[in-house]
Amino acid sequence: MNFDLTSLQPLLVLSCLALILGGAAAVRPRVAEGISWGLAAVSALMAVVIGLTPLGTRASVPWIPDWSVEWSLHITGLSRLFGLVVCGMGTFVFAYASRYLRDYERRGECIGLLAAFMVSMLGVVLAADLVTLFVAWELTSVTSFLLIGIERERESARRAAVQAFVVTGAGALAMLAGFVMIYQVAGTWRLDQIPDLSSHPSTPWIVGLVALGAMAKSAQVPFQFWLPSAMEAPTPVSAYLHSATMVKAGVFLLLTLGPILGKSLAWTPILATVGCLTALAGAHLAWQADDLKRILAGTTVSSLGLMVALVGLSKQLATGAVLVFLLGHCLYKGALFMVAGNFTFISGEKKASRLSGLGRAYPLLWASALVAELGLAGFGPVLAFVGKEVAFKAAPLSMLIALAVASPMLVACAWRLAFAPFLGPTPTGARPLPLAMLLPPVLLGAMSLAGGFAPTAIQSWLIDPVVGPGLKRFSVIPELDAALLATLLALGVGIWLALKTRPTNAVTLAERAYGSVVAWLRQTGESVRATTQDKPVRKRVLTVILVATTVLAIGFLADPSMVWPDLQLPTVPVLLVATLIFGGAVATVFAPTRISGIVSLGVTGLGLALLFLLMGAPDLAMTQLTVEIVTVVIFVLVFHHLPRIGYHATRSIRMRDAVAALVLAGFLTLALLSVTGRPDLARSAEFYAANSMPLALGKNVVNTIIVDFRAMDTLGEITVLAAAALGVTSLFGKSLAHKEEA
Amino acid sequence: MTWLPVLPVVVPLAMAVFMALTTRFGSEHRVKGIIGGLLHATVSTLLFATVAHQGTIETRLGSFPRPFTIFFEATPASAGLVALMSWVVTAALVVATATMDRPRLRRGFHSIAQVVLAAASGALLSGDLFNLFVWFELMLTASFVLVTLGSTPAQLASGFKYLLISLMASVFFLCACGLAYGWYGNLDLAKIAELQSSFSGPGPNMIGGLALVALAIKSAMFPMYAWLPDAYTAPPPGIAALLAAVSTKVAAFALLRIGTALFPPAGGLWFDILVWAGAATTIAGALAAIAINDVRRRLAFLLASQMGTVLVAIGLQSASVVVLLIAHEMVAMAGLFFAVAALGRTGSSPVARLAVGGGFLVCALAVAGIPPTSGFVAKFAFVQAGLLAENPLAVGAVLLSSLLSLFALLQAWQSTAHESEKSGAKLGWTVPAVCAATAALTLAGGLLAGPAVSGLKETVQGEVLR
Repeated sequence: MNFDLTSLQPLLVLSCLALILGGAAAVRPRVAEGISWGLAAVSALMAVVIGLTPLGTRASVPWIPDWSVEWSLHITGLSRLFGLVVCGMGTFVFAYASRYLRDYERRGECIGLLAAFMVSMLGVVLAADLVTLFVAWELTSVTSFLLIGIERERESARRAAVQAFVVTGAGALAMLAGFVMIYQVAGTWRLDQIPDLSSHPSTPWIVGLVALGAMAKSAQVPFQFWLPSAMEAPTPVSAYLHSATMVKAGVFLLLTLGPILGKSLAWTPILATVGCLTALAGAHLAWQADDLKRILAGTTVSSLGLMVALVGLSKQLATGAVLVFLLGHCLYKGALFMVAGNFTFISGEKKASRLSGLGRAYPLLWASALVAELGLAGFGPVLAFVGKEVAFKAAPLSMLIALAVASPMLVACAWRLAFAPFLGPTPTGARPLPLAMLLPPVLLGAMSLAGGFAPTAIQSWLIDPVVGPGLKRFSVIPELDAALLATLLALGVGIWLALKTRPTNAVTLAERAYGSVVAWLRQTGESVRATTQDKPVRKRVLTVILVATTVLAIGFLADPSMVWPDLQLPTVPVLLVATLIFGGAVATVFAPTRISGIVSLGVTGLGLALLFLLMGAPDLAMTQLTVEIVTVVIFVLVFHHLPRIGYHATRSIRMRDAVAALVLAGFLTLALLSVTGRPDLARSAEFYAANSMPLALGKNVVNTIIVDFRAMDTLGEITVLAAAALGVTSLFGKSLAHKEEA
Repeated sequence: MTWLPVLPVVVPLAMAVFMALTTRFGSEHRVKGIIGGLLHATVSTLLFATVAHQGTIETRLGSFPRPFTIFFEATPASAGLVALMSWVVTAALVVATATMDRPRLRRGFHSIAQVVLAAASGALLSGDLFNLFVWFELMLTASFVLVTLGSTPAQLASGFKYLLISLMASVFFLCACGLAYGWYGNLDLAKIAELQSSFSGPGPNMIGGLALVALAIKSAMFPMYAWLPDAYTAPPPGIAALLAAVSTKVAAFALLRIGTALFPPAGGLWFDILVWAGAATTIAGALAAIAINDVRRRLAFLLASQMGTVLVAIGLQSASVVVLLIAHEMVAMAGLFFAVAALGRTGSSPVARLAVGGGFLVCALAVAGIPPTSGFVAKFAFVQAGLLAENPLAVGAVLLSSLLSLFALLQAWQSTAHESEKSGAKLGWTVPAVCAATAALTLAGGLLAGPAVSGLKETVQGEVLR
């Protein structure tokens, strides 16, 4: 096979391979461990391929040509960096998961979904147009939903899964609207062809909508609460989706759209504010938590806030800082999640405060934890520190203040996780740690250190293609300036905080707000349901009558320029017949028994038949008469078996119904009059009358209409009768209720 | 080939007659019923293929000149919907046959189902106002028989309400037909649309209003959708799936065509009202769904909510979006009902469970508009049309409702996935296979949407959708 690196073929083949392996794991959980190693290898290979593919490569397949929508992928500096993160972290996570999930009941499903997620996430970061990006974006939400709720027998897991999907889905809907607006302004979905829209009048809306999408996905205030809840998922999932990759999709989106929207007036205020608030909220969340993974989730939220705030600055230096910090964050946070998973594996504990004494038995684990904590604390020769230093240089004073408040809390978390679990006497009953679970965090730590010592290599290979040349070379040696001072201060205050305070495990405001929104929705839904469903039949009919009356009234009032028909005083016989019809109707309403009611209705029918006779339609009159007689006879026969009639409605209710019925009847009459008053027009009837003999060979026009001109109507109507007959025979059958209960 | 458009009506009617003639005591007509569905699917697919290839076919029944005759009009949209419906109904027949009890089958389920097919095809294809009314009458009668088939108290109660409200709709529809004849002098929808612009006054407005109310009831508009949730939960799930795929969808398509012909173009009063009524429906349905724990009832409300979206699209006068939405909802909602019919009865086979649970999930995601399903394409089309029409509020309402639906459906899926692990009585492979096939169709509708969209664009630009 010819591997052509200038197209994206090898990557697509590898993606398919990953999906097939994932499917195999889901179907055959017994071999999931081996498959997981296979997936680790595949994702490593994918990382290599992404690294080797030249920038600017693009491939596309048409999807919906009429909307100029296509599936398209490309490799740019940004997508290469993110693609490397996705596949690189994938390698570590699959390697770790192979052993971590060995005894897990749903390991096959979990590995399979992780593979599906990896491919979807790759779709997000490699997407070359907005639609492909959106589709992949939603697919990551779907896989995330399935992974969070994988232990579906637990209520909390189910709830967290729905919460994560609904919150990110809400953002995605806004984002979709934003994307469509971009298309309608720019005329293209292609990311490389959309011009700078910053000065377009609808851009503030677009920025708002797109920012909502990014904020929901990247757990920004006020959506941050879903991320800690998502920690219900197994640890490899948390490490991969909910710290390293998926939650960074929002940051990715903002970085992608920065060149298009970044100079809009709305961009910086929204993102910088939200980002700073998130950095604070996340740090606070982490500082208050005791559950290992919730601590990490909080710190992730905080870091995402920092990244979003920096993207919001829309400056070259800030963007460079985001990218370095993002790489560093993946390395240390991935390692931390794995360390946390290892803690739980060894001791069965999920609370940070209950861990102690693991340092002597697991020195390598401690070492990797320490390196990772350096990243979390934002100090020392690690890549995250380099990023943070640059960020501090890029940030304006107000942002610095927010960061200065957030940092000590993060340092406190780092301190708590770095020392307390490892110091003290070795606990009994700790399990040995398999190499497959120890190596990934160690290697990640090593990479973190390597990156810290050689940031310029990363800068020239990964960062410069994104932000362009001309950025000052990054260095791990901090300059003696305010930024370093702030870092040192945060370090001191943080350690003091760690020693002096205890986690409170408070439920956050946003989390409670989500709960009450859901409760409110159910409540409102119940009352909406009740407005239509808990009504007696009488009210349902009334509803229909009221709606019809309203519609007719609107129709009349919209254009009341009515031409009144030239009404003549009716002749005496017509007047008599009309009295008969009207009298019958009134008598039906006031009938004391069913029999008298049906007889009165019969009188109305009789009157109609007479009217037809007077109008010169004897066959209609005959039909009407027959129908009336048969109906009355059948009704009488049936009613004989029914109980006495009972009026449940009070007098006022009946008055109300009468008024409603009369008003509707009035409007229907008005409609009839308005139709009668219109200028004359050629009618089908004339055609039928003229052509009854020549075309249909019949003298009786009514007959030819029924069986020839409009025979299809007749076919339909007699089938109605047949169906009704079938229905009646079925109704005569016994109730099958008892069978269903059995 | 002008006789082709009549076949989707004639073939199932003939099949129903054939079944009636060959009935012995205790006949269930399992095989005949499904063969009837397949026959209908074959002729309607043939019709669609011909129309897609050669363009619209117009059949004047009895070859009398228009506008004096009834005529059937197979456009790419109408023929496509008939073909899609017939496959979905055939799938529903399979599910119903597999899941329903013998007494119900013996009471003529399959013959009535054929009548529903005939009526729905007629209602999709006919271009004559009164003839449309006749097909709706037939569909109403047959649906009523299906809703009450088995005569349980719940079925009778919901059937009665269904019949009562639907008959009121019929009265309004009939009034509209009569008045339209009085005003326009004929019942040919195309001719009426031509005459429309030359008149003003309250007449056309009120005729349009009557038709609007009639079809709004039938396509489940708030607050007149009260009949729907009961009628779709009281009968067995197989019947509910069949009804879910047919009645409201056909009514919405008729509303699109009748509305385009009967609603006065000046001002677009009824279209504006449809937008807001549809928005209210879509949100009310989704909200009510959240409050309900029973999965089928929840689905029924979501169906009403989905119909609200279609009503908004009709109000925005974007015919291609309406057709996309109807086609997608036909398949996706039926898929959900199929999965519910199979719930807890898949046995221990993991493949069957995956087919049912996965089928439910895919269809649920489709209904919520999550890519890459057909629902996404429909919603995507809707958002484009809505923003192009500069109606961000309508777009917002529909997006909000799809978020609420997502919430309701995810919860429903979780409870069903949980339930399906308690393996109950086995159903065999047919129903899981149908679930998987429906889900696959939903996915295909998303991934292969290109030709459908370009076909519909031709439809809208041509004279076809009125």
